[in-house]
Amino acid sequence: MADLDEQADIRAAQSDPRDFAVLYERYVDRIYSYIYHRVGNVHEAEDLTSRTFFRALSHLDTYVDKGYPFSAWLYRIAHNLIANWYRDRGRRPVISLETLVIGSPPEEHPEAVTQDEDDRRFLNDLIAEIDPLRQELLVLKFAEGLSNAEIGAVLGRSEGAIKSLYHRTLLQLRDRLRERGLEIDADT
Amino acid sequence: MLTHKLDALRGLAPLVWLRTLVTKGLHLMGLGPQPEHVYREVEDQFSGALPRVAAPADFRRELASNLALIAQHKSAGLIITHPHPYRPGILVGVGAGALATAVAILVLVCKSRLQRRARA
Repeated sequence: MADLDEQADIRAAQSDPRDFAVLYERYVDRIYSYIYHRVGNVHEAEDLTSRTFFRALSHLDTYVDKGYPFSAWLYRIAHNLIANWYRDRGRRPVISLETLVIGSPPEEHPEAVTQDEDDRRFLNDLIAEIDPLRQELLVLKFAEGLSNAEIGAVLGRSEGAIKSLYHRTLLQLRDRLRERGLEIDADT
Repeated sequence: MLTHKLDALRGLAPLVWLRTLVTKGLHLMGLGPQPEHVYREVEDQFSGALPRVAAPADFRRELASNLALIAQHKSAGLIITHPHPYRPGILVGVGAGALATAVAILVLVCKSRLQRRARA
């Protein structure tokens, strides 16, 4: 459920659309990040992010608090737009492999940064091999930090189904590592 | 009453023991839910693979400005729709299809009349 401050912001935006800017500033990075990880390039991510917020602003009057944060509604809009985008282009969803990442702290040793980048690319390769729905689940979980209930609201599934799918996905990733002769190091 | 409760608990003990045994057996076979630490270890390994990405600053500002404009118009009672790039394509396609159908019908009609005249 949206907290009390957010409920007030939503009501304000519904009565005066110019107050939508507050909600926009709060969620634009999260929605952009989600879309970017789903479509894999900056140009498309910007276009789809714009469409998401245009649609949200246009349909804000129809928004009803169903017990999930407002962000779940935005993610749902983005999810539907991305699904249409893939259908129109006949593409298979991918996880972005571009180097557009949050910058490393300047004091970090460059070799450590390069090793981190290599590790991240390797893990991204593994994630890109799995089913698109599971990829999306991981983006919402790892990149966006959504709970199982919130992810269920975005994907149209129950919380229990998401939890079960998430566990199966983690086991699948573990198996992929083992296929490459790697084991999870519990100390890392 | 306490004695009854203790008796009831003693009655459940074999079931709990049996359940523990079955669960451990399933784990060994790779079936059933895994211990939580298994999931946590994989989570820890992969959670850093998908960092959050910030929207470019120029894009943020431009979109904020566009949304503010739309919000202003919406407040004034105007409706603005986002352009649908595929809509002109659909219209052109339907138009071309209708034209092709009309031409085909015309050709068939003319052809049939010519054939009738030739027979006559």
